[in-house]
Amino acid sequence: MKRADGGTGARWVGVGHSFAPDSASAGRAALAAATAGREPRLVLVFASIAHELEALVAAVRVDLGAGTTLAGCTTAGELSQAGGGRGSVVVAALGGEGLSAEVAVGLDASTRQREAGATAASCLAAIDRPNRVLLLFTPGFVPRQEEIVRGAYSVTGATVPVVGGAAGDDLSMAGTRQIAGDAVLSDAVVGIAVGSDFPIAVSMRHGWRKVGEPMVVSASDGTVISQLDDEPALDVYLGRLGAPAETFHDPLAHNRFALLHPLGLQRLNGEDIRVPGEVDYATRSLICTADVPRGALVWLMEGDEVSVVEAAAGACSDALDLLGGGPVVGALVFDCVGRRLILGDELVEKEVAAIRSSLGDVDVAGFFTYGEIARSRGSSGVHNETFVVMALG
Amino acid sequence: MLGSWSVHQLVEFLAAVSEDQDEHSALLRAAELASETIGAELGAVIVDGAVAAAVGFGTGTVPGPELLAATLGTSEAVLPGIGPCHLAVAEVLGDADRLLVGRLTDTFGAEERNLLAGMGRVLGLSLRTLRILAAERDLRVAQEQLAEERLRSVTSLQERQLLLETLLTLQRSISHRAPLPEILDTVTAGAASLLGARAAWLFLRNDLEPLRPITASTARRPSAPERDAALDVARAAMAAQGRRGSRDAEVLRSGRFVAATVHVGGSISGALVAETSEPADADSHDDRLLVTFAEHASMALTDARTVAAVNEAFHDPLTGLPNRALFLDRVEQALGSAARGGVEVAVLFVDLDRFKAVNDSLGHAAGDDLLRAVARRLSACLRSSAVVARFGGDEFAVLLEQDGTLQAATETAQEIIERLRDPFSVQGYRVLVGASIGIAFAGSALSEAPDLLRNADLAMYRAKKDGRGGWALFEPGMYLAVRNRLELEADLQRAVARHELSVQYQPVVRLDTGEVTGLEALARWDHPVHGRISPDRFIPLAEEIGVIDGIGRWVLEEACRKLAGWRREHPDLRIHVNLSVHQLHDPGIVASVRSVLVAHGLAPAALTLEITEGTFLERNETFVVRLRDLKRLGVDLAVDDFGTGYSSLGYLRQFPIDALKIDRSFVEGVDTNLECAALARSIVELGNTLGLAMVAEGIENDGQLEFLRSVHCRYGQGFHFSEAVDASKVAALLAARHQGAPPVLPVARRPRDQEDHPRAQAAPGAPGSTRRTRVPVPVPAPVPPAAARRS
Repeated sequence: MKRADGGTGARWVGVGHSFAPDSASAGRAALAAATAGREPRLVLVFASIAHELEALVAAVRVDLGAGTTLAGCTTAGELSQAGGGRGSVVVAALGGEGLSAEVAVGLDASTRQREAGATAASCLAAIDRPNRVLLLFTPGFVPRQEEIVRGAYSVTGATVPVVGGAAGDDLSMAGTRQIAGDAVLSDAVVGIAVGSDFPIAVSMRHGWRKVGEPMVVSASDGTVISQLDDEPALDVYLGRLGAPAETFHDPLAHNRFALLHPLGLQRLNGEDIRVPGEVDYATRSLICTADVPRGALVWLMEGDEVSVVEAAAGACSDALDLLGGGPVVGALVFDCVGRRLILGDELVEKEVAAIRSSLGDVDVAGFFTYGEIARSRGSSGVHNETFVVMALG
Repeated sequence: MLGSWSVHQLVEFLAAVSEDQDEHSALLRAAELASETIGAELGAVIVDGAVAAAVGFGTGTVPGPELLAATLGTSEAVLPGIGPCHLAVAEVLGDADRLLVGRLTDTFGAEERNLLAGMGRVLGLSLRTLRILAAERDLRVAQEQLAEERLRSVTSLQERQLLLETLLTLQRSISHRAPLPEILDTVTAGAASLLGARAAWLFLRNDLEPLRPITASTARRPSAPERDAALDVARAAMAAQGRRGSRDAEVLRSGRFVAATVHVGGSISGALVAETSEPADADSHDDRLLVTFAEHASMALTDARTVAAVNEAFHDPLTGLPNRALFLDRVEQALGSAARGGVEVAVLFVDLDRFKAVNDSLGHAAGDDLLRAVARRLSACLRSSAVVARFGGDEFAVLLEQDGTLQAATETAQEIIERLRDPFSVQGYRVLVGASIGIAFAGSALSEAPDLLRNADLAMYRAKKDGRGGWALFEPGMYLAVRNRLELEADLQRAVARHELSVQYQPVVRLDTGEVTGLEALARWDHPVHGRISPDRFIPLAEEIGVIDGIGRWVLEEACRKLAGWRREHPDLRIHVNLSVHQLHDPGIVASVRSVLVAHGLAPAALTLEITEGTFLERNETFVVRLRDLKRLGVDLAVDDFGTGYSSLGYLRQFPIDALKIDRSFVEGVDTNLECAALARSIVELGNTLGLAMVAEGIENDGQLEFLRSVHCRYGQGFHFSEAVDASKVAALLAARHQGAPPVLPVARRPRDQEDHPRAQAAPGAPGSTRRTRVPVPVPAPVPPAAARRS
C-alpha cells in the first residue's frame, strides 16, 4: 500500500460501546465515547436488531455535522475494545487529516445483486486518496452474496480492497437492516468508500479444521445443495455429524447447529467456508448464503475456542505485517456469528484480548455477521465463519 | 490431497459456464470464475481477436492491446491503470480465442496453468454449443442446414451433459479414494464412451524406463495389435510434444488413432489414446473432447500418490526392479515389435544356486540384502536396453530385445554367471551364491509371452540338472522331456513294487585262463510302456528322486540270493554289486550289507562293491568312515569307471580299495591306437604295482583281449566273453566256461607274471565249500605270495 509523503497525520479512530436499553440514549452515548469531542468524517453504527433503529439513527444524526458520512447495519452481536455484547450499540468514528469517506446505496439487493453491488461501489469514484478501501454492508438473508461483491468488484477493480459483512439479526431470523445517511433500509447494499493518505490493511483467517473424508456436491443449484455424494444433502450432512434430533425438523435448531458445523469448499489455497444455515425439509436440501457449485468438493469442518481465537490473532498480525509493523490507529472487525457461538459470549473477551495484543492498545469496532466480505487478493470476496479485520495505519 | 482440487474446479467451471444461455454471459462468467478459482485479480476472455469480457479492471479502461499481446503460457506485463502483473493465457477454441488471468503478486504455477488450460478447453466446448444454439436461433438458412445444425446442437448438448456426468463420475472415484485401477478405468471408459471410440488406452510413463510406457488402463477389449499401434501413437505424441516443449495437452492423429498427452506435475507422463471407427478430420470436435479428458486425467494423476501407486503395482518392493507383471508386459511389447521388425527377443531365467543356504544360515534380513545386491550386480552387468525383473524368491528374469541373438544371449548368460560367481559381502560375511540360467528364444511360431517364459523356466531347470553354475538353451524337446521325466519318476517309484525291476549278470573273467571268477549284477527296468530302460537312465533318476536306497538294496539282496545258489556248484564265485554314492549317505548301509550276507550265508569276501570313481573325489569324511567300515566287514571294494574322473590318485592311498575297473573308453582303442594302448598299459601297471586287481571293462574282441593280457591285466568283462544274461542263464554259462573253454597256455613268463595277487585268489572260507574250481591247466605251482605291499 502506498504511503503519502510527509504529514504526521492527525487521523484518529474512536469506538464507543453502549449497553443502554433505550436506543436513542445508547446511540448518543456510544457516539460521544467514540468522538470524544472530535469532528468525525465517518461514523459507523453497529446495533442490535432489538433496538429501535430509526430513533437511534435520528439521535446520532443530530450530533453530527453535515459533512459526516453515516452508515451501518444490524448485527448478530457487537464487539469493541470493551468486549462483546448483544443487544448493544457500537459506534466507530474516524476522522482527522488525510482521511475521507463517501457512501452509496444499492437497492433491491435480493433481486439485483450485481447491480446493487455496483451501485453501492459507485461512491469510490468520489474518493481520491492514495489508499482506498470499499466497505460493504449487505442484507444478511440475500442469497448469492458473491454476486453483490462481483458487482462491487466490477467497479472497484483489482487495486481496491473490499471489506465488510452481511448484516445480522441476532439469529432471530426476522430480517436485517442497513443504515446509510439518515435512512434505515432493508434489502439494501451500503457501500462506504474510505480513502487515507496512510496504508489500510485487510486480512482474514477462518481457523476451522477439515474433518474426515470429503464429499462431492453431486447436485446443487446456486446456494441450494440438494445432494451430497448422490444422497439427499440434508441427511448426509446431519447424519455424518451425528446431529441432534431437533435439527431434523426445527429450522432454528438446524441453523444453530449449522453455524458450528460449516462446510469447507475445497479451493486452491485452502477452503472457502460455507454455512448450510437453512434447510428445505421437503427436498432434503441445504441452503447456504453463498454459492456451492455442483461438482465441488466439500469438507466437514470443526473448530473450537482455541482455533477461533488463534484465527483472530493470526489475521490481526497479518494485517500488522501489511502495515509494515505499525502504527495502527484503529481497526474494524467483521466476525462470523458462528465463531461467536463457539466462543460463547463470555469468551468473546478472549478474542478481543487477542486482537488488542496483536494490534496494540487501539480502539476496535466490529460486529458478528451472517457472512464476511474481504477481497484483497484474487477476486472472490465472500467468506463464512471467518474473521476479517481492517486495520488503519 | 495435492491436485485433485483442480479436477473439481474444472467440473464446477464446466457446470457454471454451461448454465448460460447467451455467449456474453458465459464469457463474463468464465472470466470471473477463472480469476476467482485460480486466485487472480484479473480475468479476461478474448474472442476473435477482441476482448469480449474482462474482470478486475473496475471502471477503468480495459487495456485491450496489452491483453491481446499476451502470449500463450505465462508472461509479465505492465497494464495501464493496474501496474505490473503476471499473466497466464490459455487457448479456447481457435487461434484468436483466449482465456486470460492476471495477478498482481506471485507467478502462476504449473497446476494453475494446467487448470487454466482445462478451463479454456471447457469454455471452448461450451462456446461452440452456444454458438450453434445462437446460430440456430438467429439464422435464416436453408431448411436442411438448419435441421443438420439442430441435430448437431442436440448431440452437442447431450454430449456436454454426458461429459459433465462422466467427469463427475471420475471426480467421485478420485475423492472417494477408489482403487487406482478403477480411477484409471474411469478415465479410459469415459473417453471411449464420449468419443464413441472402439477402444481407448491410458499409457503412463514408467519412472525406471522412460521409453517404455506402462499400459495403465484399457477400455473395450481391443486386440494386441491394436494396442501396439496405439502405443506407437502414444509414444509419437509424447515425443512430439517433448520436442515442442509446450506444456498444454496436445493431440496427435494417426489413421484411426488419436492421442492426447497426459501431464503430471508439469511434465509429460503419458498419453490417452482412442481408436475411432473411421479416420476423422484433424482438429475435429473429438480432439477437444479427448484433450479435455486427458487434462482431467492429468489433474487426477497429479495427486502424487496415484503416480507412485502405478509404479508400485509394477515393481518389486524389495529390489525396485520390475515385477513379473511388468516383465510380462514388456515381453509382450517386445514380441509385438519383433513380429513387425524382425528383432530377436530372448528371455533369460536366472536362478540363484545357493540362495537357500544363505537364507537359512544367515537369516532373512541377510537374504534380503543378498537379493538386493544380486539385483544391483545384475543390472550393472547388463545393457540399459535389457529389462531385469525379479519374480520373487530367488528368481530373476532378463529380457534381451535388440540383442536377443543366440550369440548375444549365451554371452550374456555367461557374463551373468561369472559376475554372480564372485563373492558377495552380506552383513559382513563373504557369501558365494552362483546362478543357473535358462535361455529361451522367441521363434516364428511363438507369439505368446507366457510360453516364452515357460520355456526359459524349463531351460533353467535343465541348467540346474546339468550341474549348477551354467546355462542351458531351451529346446522344444525339453518341454516333452520334462513331462516325460515327471512321468518316469512316478513310474520308477512304483517299479520295485510292481516287479518291473530285474537283475542281469555279466561275467568277470580271468584274462589268462578264461575262468569266470565273478558276476556283475546289473539292474534292469522293464517299463510296461517304454520297454527296457537301461541303468544309465534310471539309476541317476533313482538317485535324484531318492529311491536309490530301496532299489540298491533290492539288487544286492537279489544278487546275493542268487549267488548263494550258484556257489553250491562254484564255491569261489563272487558277486559284484554297484553301490551308489547316495547309499553311502545312509548310516545303516553297513549293517544292511552285513545282514544280507548273513541272510544268505555268504562270506563277505564273496561280495565286491563297485563304487564309481567320482565318489572318491568328494573328500567326504563320512564316506571314508563308511568305506572303512564296509572294508572291515570283509567285502572288497572296487573303483568303477576308473580313469574317467579327475585323477587325484592320492585317494587310492586313502581309501581301502581292492580293485580298479578300467573304463571301457580306455579299452576301446587299445588294439588300434597307440596312445590308447600306452594309456591302458600305464593304468594296468599302476594298479598292479599298487597291488590292486585290475579289471578291464568292455572287451569286445580278441585284439583287445590279447593286448590286455600282454600288459598283465588280470580280469576283464565285455561282450567278447558274454553280455549280461538273466539269472536263469547263469548256471549254463558257468558250466560252459568250465567245460568247453579251451585251455590257454600261458606265455613264457617270469615268476612275477605268475604271481597271483593274494586277493585275486578265490577266497576260502565259504562254509561247506572247499572245492576249488579251476581249469586244469598245467601251470606251475603257485609261488608263495610276495610280501604284501600294502598294509
